[in-house]
Order: sequence, then structure tokens, then C-alpha cells
Amino acid sequence: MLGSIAVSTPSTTAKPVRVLVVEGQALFGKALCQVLASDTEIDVVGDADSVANAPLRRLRPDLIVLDLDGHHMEFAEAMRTCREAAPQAKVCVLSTHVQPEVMQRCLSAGADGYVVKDILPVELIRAVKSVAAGHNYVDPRVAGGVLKRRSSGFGRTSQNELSVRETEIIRLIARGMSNKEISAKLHLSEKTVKNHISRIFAKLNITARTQAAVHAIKTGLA
Amino acid sequence: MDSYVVEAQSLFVPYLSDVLAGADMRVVRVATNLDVDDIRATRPDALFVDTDFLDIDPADAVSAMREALPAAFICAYTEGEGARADRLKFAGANCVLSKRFGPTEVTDTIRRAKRGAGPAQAPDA
Repeated sequence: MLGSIAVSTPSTTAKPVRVLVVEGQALFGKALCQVLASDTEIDVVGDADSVANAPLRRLRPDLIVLDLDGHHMEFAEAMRTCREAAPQAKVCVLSTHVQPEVMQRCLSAGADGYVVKDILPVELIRAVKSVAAGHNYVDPRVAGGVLKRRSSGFGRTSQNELSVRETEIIRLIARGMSNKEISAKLHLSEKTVKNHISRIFAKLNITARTQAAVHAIKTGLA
Repeated sequence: MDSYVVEAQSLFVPYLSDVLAGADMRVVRVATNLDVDDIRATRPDALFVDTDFLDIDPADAVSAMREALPAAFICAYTEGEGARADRLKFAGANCVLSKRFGPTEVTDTIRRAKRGAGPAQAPDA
């Protein structure tokens, strides 16, 4: 064919990674899809605002990018749902939290990767590919925090460490929200919120919300 | 309108900038947290603030922005609904955008608020 130029394309034998994005913020979810779809080795097969609404069985993704902050169920429950509906899928958590204990809870619940939301697009793509290839990926800043804690002798998971949900609730307490507001925000009953708060008080050995708020601020949770 | 964005999720900013451009808001500066001095120095026509990732109370942040730039158009982006969204409106936001909104709802809400077609559009409770 006259004028045609033979273009050599990279010989990629591997199929694109099929990624499903679960993100509670509608715009952020679209942004994620746009970033991921820009890479030819990633195929964004769908997006959903929650695990409950994600067509996991139908889409059979290789990897789920799961927003930690926006879902309305316990993280461990969200992970169970993912594992049951898409047992083949790796899960890469996307979070605003840089606290090592939050990351550890996510990994303990079965997540394969943990990425903080201010990650650069190119690094997010690298993280997704790495997790899809069977490696674990943890944001270097969070991993650095874990190493620091270990070197300080606090590496072991303590029974007194707050769960992901408890961490979320103590942050909201620190923002001055009432139980009713927290229950509305997290789509939990007020009774459940009270139970979480009781456990927070017991774990931190405190008796008042103001003490919880102070703890959250001092430890960087809020 | 030259617009200043306060958004901690930097991964989100390029897409957000495109969406805001659809509402005639041209992003000229982005910060990951509230810096009132920087806002004063930049003197944007509009401010977009993601209130869920600030170091201070969201309503206080909006008040500080309003005080810094009394004539600016302020958009508060929030997961909060009902009373929490109302607080942002009372603090001085011209429009309150829910994180449940898709791009079209965001631009439509901003456009309505810019036309001054009533009070800020707080998300329904």
C-alpha cells in the first residue's frame, strides 16, 4: 500500500487488566475511570457507587479499585461481598487515610493494595498493574509509617487499635458531629453508632466525646 | 471566571477542572488545604472547596473564604446533606454541591447559582 508506514506496536501477549471502579463520589469515580482508561493495558469494565450496586458477578473483573471512604458498609463486609461475588478479583483500596492502622485493617480484611487518593495518575496505574500481577502494593508514605512504628516497638496489631469504622466515626466526632449526624452520614442506625462509640471509649480508656476528639486530633486521625 | 480549587484528592483535579470548565470556571490555582493568604493573593473570581478533607470545620472554612473575598462565588463540595449542607450555605457558600452529583448536575447547579436563581442548592436530606 503506497504511503503506508509499518508501525511496530509493542507485543503485549497479556490481556488488559479488567478493572471495576467502586467509588462513592460520582465525579471522583469518573476521574478514576478516565485515568485508568488512559492506559492501554487496563480495561475499565465498569464503575459503581458502592459494592452493593456493583455488578461483580456479571463483569468478573480482574481487579476492583475500592473506595474506602465512600462505601456505606463495614469495610470487612465490603471485602467479603467482593470475595464472594468475584473471588478471582484482586482488591486495591483507595483511601484518604495515611494512618498505618487504617491500612493494616484493610490488608487484614483481605485487600491486596492500599493507595492514598493524592497519588499521581502514573503511580496509580503502576499500583493497579502491580496488584493485578499478584503483588501487594502499599503507598510508600503509609508503609514508611508502619516501619517507623515497628522500629518503635509498636508493630504488633493491638486489640486496642481502632477498626476502620471506628476510625471513621472518631474522625466525625472530632468534626463535632452528633450521633444522629454520624448515623445519617454513614447510613447506620444510631444504636450501631452508639455501640461503635462505646467500643472506641473502651479501647482508648476514655469517657467523653471531647476526649475522643482530642485523641483523634493528636494522633492525626482528624 | 478565574477559579481557585481547594481539593486534597489531587488525582481528581484534572477531571474536576474539565467539569468546572463546563460551568465557565477556569481553574487558575489548586491547593490541597485552605490557605486564606494564598486565596487573597490569587484573588480569584470563584472558589471551589472540597469541605470533607480540610483541617478545620467546613463551615468555618467557608466563612474564612467569604471574609477573604466578599464578592467571590463560592462552591462548597460535600458529602454532607441536610443540616450540614445548610451550615455551608449559611456560612457564605453560593452553592453547595453533593458528592453524589454527576458532572451534569454539578455544572447545572453552578450555573443556576451563578444566575442567582435563588438560594444555594443544598442537596436534599
